[in-house]
Amino acid sequence: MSSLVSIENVTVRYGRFTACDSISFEINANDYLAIVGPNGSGKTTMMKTLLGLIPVSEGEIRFSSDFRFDQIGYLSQKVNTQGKHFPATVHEIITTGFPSSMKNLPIKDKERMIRSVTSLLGIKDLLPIRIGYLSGGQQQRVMLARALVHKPKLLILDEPTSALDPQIRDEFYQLIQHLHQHEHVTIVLISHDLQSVSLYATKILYLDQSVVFFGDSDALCESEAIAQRIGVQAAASLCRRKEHEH
Amino acid sequence: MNIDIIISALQYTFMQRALLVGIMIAISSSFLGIFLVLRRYSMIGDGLAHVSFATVAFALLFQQSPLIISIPIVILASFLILKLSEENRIGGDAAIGLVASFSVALGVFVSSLAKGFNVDLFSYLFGSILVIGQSDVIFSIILSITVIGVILFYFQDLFALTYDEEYAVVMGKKPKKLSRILAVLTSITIVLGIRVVGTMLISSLIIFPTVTALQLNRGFKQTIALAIIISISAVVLGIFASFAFNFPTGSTIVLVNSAFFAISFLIRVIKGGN
Repeated sequence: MSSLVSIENVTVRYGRFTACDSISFEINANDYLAIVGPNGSGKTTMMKTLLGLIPVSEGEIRFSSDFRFDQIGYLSQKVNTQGKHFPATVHEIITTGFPSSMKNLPIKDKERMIRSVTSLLGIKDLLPIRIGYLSGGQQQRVMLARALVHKPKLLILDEPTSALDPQIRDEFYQLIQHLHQHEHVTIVLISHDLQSVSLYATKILYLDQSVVFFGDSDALCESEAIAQRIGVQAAASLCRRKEHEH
Repeated sequence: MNIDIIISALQYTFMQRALLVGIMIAISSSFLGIFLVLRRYSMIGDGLAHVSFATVAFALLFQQSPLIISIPIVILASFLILKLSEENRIGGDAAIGLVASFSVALGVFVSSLAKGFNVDLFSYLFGSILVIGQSDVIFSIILSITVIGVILFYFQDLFALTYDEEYAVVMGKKPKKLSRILAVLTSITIVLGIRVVGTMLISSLIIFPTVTALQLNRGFKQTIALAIIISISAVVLGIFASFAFNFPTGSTIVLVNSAFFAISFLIRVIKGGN
């Protein structure tokens, strides 16, 4: 399995506070990796460091030679950051998903890519509508379309379901599952909801400033370190749900 | 104001010049306006207008062209505001306030040193587009086209940055570079606009058309198109009204812009838009 990104002993500090302490893991092509942990465990810091938004204090992040930074798609936990009055249509918002390296791509090619991603996500009819007029679930799909429009190899999602109601949340996880299995997009999903993501992810990274667990999701419920963190009953529940899924 | 007055007004060279320069500046300022208003940078325009007051005073003291003297100094002031805004202990609004009040104080101080140009200074405070010279016309048109061209070139980057700065950074956009480009374009537009409505009213050319267009709930490009139409209409109506009724041109343009805003605001409220 080829490694897309290699995180080696990465430490991130804000002044004297250490948010991530000597973290190492790898993201391989076609992984569905869930980064989980309690609030303040360094999940979002780790994700922002991966995206180049926060500098590494120590350690190194290495991308494979055939992987470019502009092949990353990113879905933030903030949906429609500017509120309902921002004057932009869904089409205009999705165009902001093209990286600078695609600036000179012909408009007709960009339009084809926009049509393709909006068809895939079932939001083609929303293109001329202002973003602020859409429901939370629709806005989330628009943001996902923006993250996918340039056909990224790696999709990073930061707590994407935190603002969604339970039914839409399940639909959203199934959509991500579809992208992983049928579109072969490598997924990195940040979440505090271990129970839900462990059903879908193939690998789990459990953080609490440092790495508590990193491995296949099947091995998660048997981990003593996880049982100590979330409690024996919760770990047993994870095992039962996993067995039920299988 | 009937058609005869409009036709007779168009016979005059000074009216042709005023309309030409006014329309070009209306386009560049309203095009720029949407990025400044949505990024909460509207008051930078106001702060830089105060800086241009000081630079005009210096230009008149040394008997130089205010346009040529003002542009580089106002650009430097815009960089200073950006730099001060990045400091944790000074907010963006406080940075604008510092630079603006210092500049006005400096302008008043300089004008008190040299008696005799206070009348000229007054014309730059409230605009004097009807007495614009040919060289200023050419200079204004070239710079307006430059501003519009640069915005068009960086349009997608500026839009991405305005909507979601963090995402724009992930997509490889350079926020510091784009902020500086916006600051330079704003500085040029401010200096050009002082001829039209004066240093006291120039920020209205940037803010009013955009805010008026925003009331109409359209997409980004449509909002820009509406702002440009509103801005051109206000400038043309203002210039003709000032010719026909002997009103001061700059303030008439701003009052027409205010009326457009009041109408669009009422339309939105009546239609129940939120």
